[in-house]
Amino acid sequence: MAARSLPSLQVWLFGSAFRSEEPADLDILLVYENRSSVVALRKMQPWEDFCPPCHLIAMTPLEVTEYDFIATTEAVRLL
Amino acid sequence: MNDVRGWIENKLQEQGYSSTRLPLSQLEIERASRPDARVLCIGLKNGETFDAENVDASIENVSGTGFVVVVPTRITHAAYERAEERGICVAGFGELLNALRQDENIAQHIDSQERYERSRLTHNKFVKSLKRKGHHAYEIQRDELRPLTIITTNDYEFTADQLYTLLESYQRTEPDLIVVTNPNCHGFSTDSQRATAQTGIPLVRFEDFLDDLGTKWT
Repeated sequence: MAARSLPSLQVWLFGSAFRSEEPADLDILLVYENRSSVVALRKMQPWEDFCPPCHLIAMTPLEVTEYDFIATTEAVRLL
Repeated sequence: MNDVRGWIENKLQEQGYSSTRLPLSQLEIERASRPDARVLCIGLKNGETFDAENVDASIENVSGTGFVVVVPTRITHAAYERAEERGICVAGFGELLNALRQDENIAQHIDSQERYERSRLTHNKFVKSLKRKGHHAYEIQRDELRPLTIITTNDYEFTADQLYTLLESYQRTEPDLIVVTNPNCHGFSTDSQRATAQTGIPLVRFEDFLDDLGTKWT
């Protein structure tokens, strides 16, 4: 929900959330053009203290491509 | 958090541990095959952090403190450094569970990333000694070469954002290098290399760092 106020961010879910009904954590990929959006989102909530904790990883579009991240992790876009 | 000890008691129970309340926000945790473990429970309010002086105060105010569990885990790098100096462990609830499972004396607990990094570093012939400088940061004394301060990360895919996040987190530290210690990290993104070039702080893989400790960064 918080990311809706930062429309330049893409938000993707990956990891154990797809394999478990009670995942130990939620892995979230943020794809950004301007890092200030990532900084703003991190400041909105104590993401790591959620239950389950949210682990945010932020990448530029070039990094997503170079690491082939979305295909490798089978991430699903949320926003 | 108002009743952090109650929260920790409940969470421990969910994991199969019984605990007894002791004075001064302490819990004595029963373990089947190891000595019972005593912890001091600290709950932080919004915006609070657990800093080096809080480590000192915990030790001075609560006799025999060996493990401080801090919820939420807003522990400063200076607090981790001070905890090592004072011979205690400061950690969040997740690391408390690991300590209960792994350590005879939970005051000596170190997390898996630090254990791996310390093991590799102390077995390097050019390393004389290590001092903790933060959650995952060390000052390395070397034979005949200047000491190095490094910040480590075990990210598999190291990113430009991760670099900036680390540097923002370690504002009081002046690192000589950022070292990526995940053995599965085989290279860095173009943007992370560009970012490190801008900051002037070299970014290296752990294997390369260990290979070059005796010859580089003089």
